[in-house]
Amino acid sequence: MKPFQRYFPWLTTALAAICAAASLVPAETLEYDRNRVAAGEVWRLVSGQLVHWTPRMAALDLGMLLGLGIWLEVRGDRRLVALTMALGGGLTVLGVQELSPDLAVYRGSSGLASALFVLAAVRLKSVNDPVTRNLAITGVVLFLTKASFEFLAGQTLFAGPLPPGVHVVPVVHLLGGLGGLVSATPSLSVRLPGLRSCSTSN
Amino acid sequence: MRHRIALLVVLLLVLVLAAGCVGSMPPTHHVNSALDFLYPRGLTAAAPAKEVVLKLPLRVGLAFAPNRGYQRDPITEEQKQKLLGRVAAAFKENKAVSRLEVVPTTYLQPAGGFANLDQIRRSLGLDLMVLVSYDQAQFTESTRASWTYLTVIGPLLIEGEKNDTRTVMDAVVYDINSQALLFRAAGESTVGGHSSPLNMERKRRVFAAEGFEQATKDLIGNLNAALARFDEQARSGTVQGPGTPAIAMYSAKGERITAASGHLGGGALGIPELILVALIGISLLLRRRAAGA
Repeated sequence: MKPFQRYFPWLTTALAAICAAASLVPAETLEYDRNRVAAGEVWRLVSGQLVHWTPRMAALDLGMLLGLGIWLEVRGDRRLVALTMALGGGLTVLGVQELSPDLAVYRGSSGLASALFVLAAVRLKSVNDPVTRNLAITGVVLFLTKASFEFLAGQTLFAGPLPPGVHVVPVVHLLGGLGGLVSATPSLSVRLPGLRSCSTSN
Repeated sequence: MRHRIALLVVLLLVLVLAAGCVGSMPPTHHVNSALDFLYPRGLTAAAPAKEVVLKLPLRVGLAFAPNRGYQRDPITEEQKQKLLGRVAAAFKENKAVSRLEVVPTTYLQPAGGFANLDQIRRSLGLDLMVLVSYDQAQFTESTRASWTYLTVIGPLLIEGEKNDTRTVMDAVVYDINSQALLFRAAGESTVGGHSSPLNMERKRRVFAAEGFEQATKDLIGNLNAALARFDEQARSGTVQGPGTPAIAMYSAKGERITAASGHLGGGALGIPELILVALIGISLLLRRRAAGA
């Protein structure tokens, strides 16, 4: 089997197709809405992570999510990507539904993107090149520090423009990042069959 | 010899007089005001605003306030409509707004007041009106290069006139029914440039239009921020804090929207995260190239 066929990013491609399909319907039908979730529309806990407030927000979130997902899958980390997405998505649900009680409506896939970002950076820790390795570690530290500060201080740093009345939810970034960190820990990785160790040739 | 000197003196005199013909223009100042339009008899004669009741989503009209008397505009009606179209486009994503209508200036009569706005409300089915006013001043002064105007081709080629165009745009958002000012925002710009005496008029028009363009961009950002502040404030029951009219907002289902109704949230990554990913990606790419070399 050719390497490209073996490592074709099916998971990320499927996610991209789902996001594209989600963009065809009005965002109101898929967004997280606390009242509607309480009324039984529980799928909104997940579908809210596929829709966005603005095209810029969608480009940043999905661009990072798809870019990192493809890179990780192509290098053979599909199972880790699946685990990280599940963990990142689950923790986003926790952050939105349980830890943000004053949040009525939520849209965005930054929880998943944060998880993949931390996973990708941690997977680079064993590369030979010290510059890339240090950059990756610094990236994780900076990301988690920024998310923690935003969560604790209740204010966002360098947030892009969002529609009036819409606020960034930092707890989602923090939990997503922690999800990525947890899924990348070796103790968890060894239990997953078929996991490749991080290749130093990449 | 005497004739030659006399001819030279006459020639110099003609050149100096000709240069006087292409001298600097006096400053121009264009102003129009939404308050002049809404309160033609002055603010003291105005009736106090009633309690504001808003049922979301809202239908919003946008228009430039009409000019005082027959004052000439620095930009055309078409340009005005385009600027308002840009403001409208910035609010299309807002869930609280169902329709944005750019209202032609001809619909608004000078000193028409709330009676005029009420006519527009009835005819176009609007809830809120955004009235945009402006104040634009243009200054032109000659620079040292203007001595070249003494030559024949100087006024044609040398851009010795320095232009400054300062523009302030102000948007006020009124609830037409209660006549209450909900919020306001302003945008400003300063455009500088040079022109030759012969294309001064054209350049001033270009600078005027550019000034409006840049001020509109600034206005849109500030208007968005003001709308977010208004949304927060309105949930607490008054338009702009204690002493201002009371406000009640209702959702499409008829439920009262209050501070306890919850906020809207977004999971949005920003530029810092993008820079981090880009740096790591570039580092990997460089390493791969170095390994391949």
